[in-house]
Amino acid sequence: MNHLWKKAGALLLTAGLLTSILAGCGNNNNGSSEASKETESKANSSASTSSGAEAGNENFNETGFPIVNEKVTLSFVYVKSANMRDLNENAMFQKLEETTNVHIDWQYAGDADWPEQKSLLLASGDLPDVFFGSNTLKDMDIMTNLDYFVPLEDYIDKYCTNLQAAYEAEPIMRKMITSPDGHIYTLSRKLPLRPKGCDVPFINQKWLDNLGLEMPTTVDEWYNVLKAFKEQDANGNGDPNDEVPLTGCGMFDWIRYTNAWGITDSLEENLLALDQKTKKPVFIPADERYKECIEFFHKLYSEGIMDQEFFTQDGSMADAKLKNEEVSRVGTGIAWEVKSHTNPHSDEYVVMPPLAGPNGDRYIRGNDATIIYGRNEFTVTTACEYPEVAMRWADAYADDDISVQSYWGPYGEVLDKADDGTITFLDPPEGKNGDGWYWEVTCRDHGPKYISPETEAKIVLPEGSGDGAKLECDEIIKDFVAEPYPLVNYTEEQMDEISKLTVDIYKYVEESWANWIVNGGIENDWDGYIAQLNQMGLERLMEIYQEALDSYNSAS
Amino acid sequence: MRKCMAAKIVGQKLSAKDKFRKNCKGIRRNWQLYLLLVPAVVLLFCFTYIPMYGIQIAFKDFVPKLGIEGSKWVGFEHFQTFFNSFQVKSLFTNTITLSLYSLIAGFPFPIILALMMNQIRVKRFKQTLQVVTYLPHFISTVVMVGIMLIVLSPSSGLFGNIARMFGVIDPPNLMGQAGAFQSIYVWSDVWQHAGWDSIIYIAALAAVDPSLYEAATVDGAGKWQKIKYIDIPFLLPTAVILLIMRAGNIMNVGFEKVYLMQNPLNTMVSEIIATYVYKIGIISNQYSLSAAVGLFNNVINFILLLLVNQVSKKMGDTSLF
Amino acid sequence: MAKLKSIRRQVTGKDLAFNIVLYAICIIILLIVVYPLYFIVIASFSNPTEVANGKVWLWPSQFTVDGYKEILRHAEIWVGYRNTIFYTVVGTVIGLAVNIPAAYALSRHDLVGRKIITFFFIFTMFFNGGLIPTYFTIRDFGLYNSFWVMVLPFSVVVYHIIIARTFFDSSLPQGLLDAAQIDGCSNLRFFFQIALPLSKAVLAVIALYTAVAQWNAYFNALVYIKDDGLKPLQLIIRNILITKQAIAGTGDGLAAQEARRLSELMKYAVIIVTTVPIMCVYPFVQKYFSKGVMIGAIKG
Repeated sequence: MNHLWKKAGALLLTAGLLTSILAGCGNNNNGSSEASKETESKANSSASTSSGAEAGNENFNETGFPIVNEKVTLSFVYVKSANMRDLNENAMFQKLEETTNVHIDWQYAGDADWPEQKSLLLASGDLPDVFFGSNTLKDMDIMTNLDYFVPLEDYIDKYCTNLQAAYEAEPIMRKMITSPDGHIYTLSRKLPLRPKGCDVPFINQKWLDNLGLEMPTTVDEWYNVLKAFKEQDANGNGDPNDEVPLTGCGMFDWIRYTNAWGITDSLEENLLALDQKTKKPVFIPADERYKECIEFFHKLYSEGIMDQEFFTQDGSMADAKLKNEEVSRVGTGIAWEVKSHTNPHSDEYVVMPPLAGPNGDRYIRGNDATIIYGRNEFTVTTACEYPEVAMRWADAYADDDISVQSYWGPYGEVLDKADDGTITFLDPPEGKNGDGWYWEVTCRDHGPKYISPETEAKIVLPEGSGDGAKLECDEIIKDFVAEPYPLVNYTEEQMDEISKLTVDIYKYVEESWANWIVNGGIENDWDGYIAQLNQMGLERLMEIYQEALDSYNSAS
Repeated sequence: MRKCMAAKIVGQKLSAKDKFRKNCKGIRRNWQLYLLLVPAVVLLFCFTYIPMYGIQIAFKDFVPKLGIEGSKWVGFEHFQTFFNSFQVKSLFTNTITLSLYSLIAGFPFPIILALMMNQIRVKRFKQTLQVVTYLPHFISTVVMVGIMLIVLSPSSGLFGNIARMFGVIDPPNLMGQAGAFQSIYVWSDVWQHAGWDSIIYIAALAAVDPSLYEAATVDGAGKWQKIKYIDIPFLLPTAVILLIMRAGNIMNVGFEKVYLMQNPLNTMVSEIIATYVYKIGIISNQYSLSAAVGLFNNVINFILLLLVNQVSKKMGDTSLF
Repeated sequence: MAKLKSIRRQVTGKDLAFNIVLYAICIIILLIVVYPLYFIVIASFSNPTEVANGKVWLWPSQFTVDGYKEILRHAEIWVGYRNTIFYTVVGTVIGLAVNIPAAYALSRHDLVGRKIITFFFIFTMFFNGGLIPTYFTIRDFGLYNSFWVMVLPFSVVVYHIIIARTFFDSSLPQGLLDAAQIDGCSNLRFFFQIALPLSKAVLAVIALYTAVAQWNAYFNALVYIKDDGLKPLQLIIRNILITKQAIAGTGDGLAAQEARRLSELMKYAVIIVTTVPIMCVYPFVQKYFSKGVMIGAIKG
């Protein structure tokens, strides 16, 4: 069946192409692709229901289960990592299929080459019914191809009680997906038991003790400590030169250190911060505070405190320094979670409370919108014959039990749910650690999941799990989390303009950044640098960010 | 005068006619040769020429939903955008210098290698050398760059260790020096591909008639003379053709390796057209702009190829067409 | 007589010096090339942290075969191997069948329209419709997600045609063709019975080029192959490798850490696993490069 419609579509297309070539590339040839689209969806409908053409409303139940009386198949594109098992083998998904009577035809893409495949998929219009998971489509893919996607708000209001409840409890979940044109094209999610802060600063307590130093509280004290690390034999192996007080790689590794200077990045890799006082967007690399911060780091670099290979090594080399077997070599750093990051020397490192900068600012990066919540989890395309079925399926997925099981693993296999609702964890199979196991048996972060606070409170994390360790670190830093530039919604035009402007700007910024830290001279170059950035369109870029922020704030 | 001209025109006409007749005869006589061409021509037509309507993407504002035909025509707008870009000047300089450097350094090595191997009489050694020099070709670019980073690391790499052995206290961080980028790129490439590229020359040398060597020995020629007067002339046509093809590739520098070798300390020399196209095309979805840059690039390449081909034709008799 | 002898000695003396320099250079080249190869081998058996810290340079450090275990753990690898071998064998045969005849035809100076046809070929080296229209075309021909898409549509390689053409041009003496034509030999017969047997060296080169390209190809598979059962080895390996990096990037505690370690570990083992089979092809090709393949035929 599938082949037939493909062929029919193909024939029509060829005909269309040939005429267009013959006609000297006529400029409007929409007809043929529309026609093939129609053939496609028609054929799809007869393929996916056993009863034939008119599945329509009799088959669909607006409430209760099953969602459809006769089985319907929906195709989901999902970017799956090679380790993940086929989700159709997952007991929870099997059960979900039984309840809903909706079969999911998972079309997995590998994450290695998804960007290329995605371009092709969108450009060719061979769409699945649903794009599942936030790692499939980015904001830009949706916003620049709006015609491909079905507005979902009516379905949500009509059929999706779980989603409605979630949005009621967490208004941000609706706000972050409401596009400037008022429609909702994709669904959001909320993950359970997540931290508030992103980066945890850490320092080697053993080195501090070895040298008789106090835990630093300001950047100046920090500098003195690092200098001592550099000059003395802090790790006590007899070699005063093998200590690397501070390492990392690349600008986005470094930007986390700007916190103390009062500008905290918004976690979106767009170098954007929200000024904590004026609540205006700040382009970090064009701010005076950034300049001060660079001067400080130039000092670190020129005195050999900052790793001389900070700009040239890759992540694995930076990691390897931290994980050096015989003796610890790194003094300080920033990590998602300290214990596993500093293994095998975890016992030496402790969380360092956020440092105060020159103006007394003590901040930590964090952004609920990306750490706890997320969007683009479930996007229905115009190729989908039954958006209502897809949406009811999504709503079924947003149920507490399903969401928990899709995050860690099915009840009975990974989790155990007691009669009082307490959720505990079963032991992982021989030779596996829990964290890795969850990645294998579930789709982890993905899908429009929502877990209510009541259920969340009943989850008992196992001893030593990654999630638990992160929450422990978070206790120390969570009160310092700065308000980020929120996860706003851009219009298609804004998106387009941003991507055009930033290619040149980012490159110039990164180049100058490395150059100043290594060679210094920011004092002299600064004005010219700002002028150049403005010439590249920085002012316009900031206007766009301000507009987007305004419309985000004014939205209810 | 007029008569003369008329005669000339008639003459031309006649010769054109003759030519036509001669051609027809030639085609008829060699029809089997056309048969040999059929598979390649048909495949190229179907899978390369038919999709060529896609070139118009460069002149349109491609929107996936509208399709190639349906997208709005914008003429040379994308080309203008590219030329107005802040990087355009450095992109060109970087691309061309890197490419020329690669060409000058990389072109002679395979030939020299092939000539040397051709001189080796110990069969085992010769075979080993061939296999070993050919192997690096199979190292993927990612791993290649990874090895370079590890080996060149001033603190822990082989390079750093050797430098310290020779008493350099603070070995430079080569990967962080913009000035070293091109040399690292080019010479690691020579290392990786010279053996592989020499295969074609080795094969060509296999076709040399051994009696030529015998005659030369009788004439008292030494090894050096034999290389100079037999081997090199024999390799020349192949070398010239490959050189022409490389000239047509001046604007194309392998994207992946440069991209992986980039770091903020060297982007001023390492940002080339290919990496730029990647950044605007795949990372920020500007299909049309990247198509326009790609097209422009290839037009230049094509013109270069034609030029070099013409020059080579004038100078010797080797040419592509 | 004495004079002649002294000339001889002079020549051999020179040749001896020549040989010493030659072998010395070759040994240096050998060492320069061998070391990084050796490095890959020992790195594939070492703890990746040790590798990144520059501690692996003569022997494997903290010997381990986890990298290999991790790769071979994935059952898809074997399907990938099978597919890649099929693609390589069939692709090489098709490549030779398509490119070599075309190259021969273009090498003939008496081919009417030679220039135009050459131009037709070379033009495609510079201009093509781009990915999207090519994808449509492949789909319309019904080749999408089929075995043939890997071996047929892109089997014409102009570069190979040009190389083979140059070879035919420079190493098939014109006299041979003239003589054959006087004997009433047709073009096809000449090509199959005389030109091809005399050109084993270039056939070997083109076969090697095609085979290696097929072996390493993943991009076409990425775009045109959907079924896991049709994916070639390189694509499968890429996914395994990059997945590890993706998980590693999530910062998700121990899982990420383990993934990062494995991805670094597999990096080198992957090279060994994927290249050893194709490496073994070369010695078979090599024997066609020995001298004097041509000569007997021409004289006989």
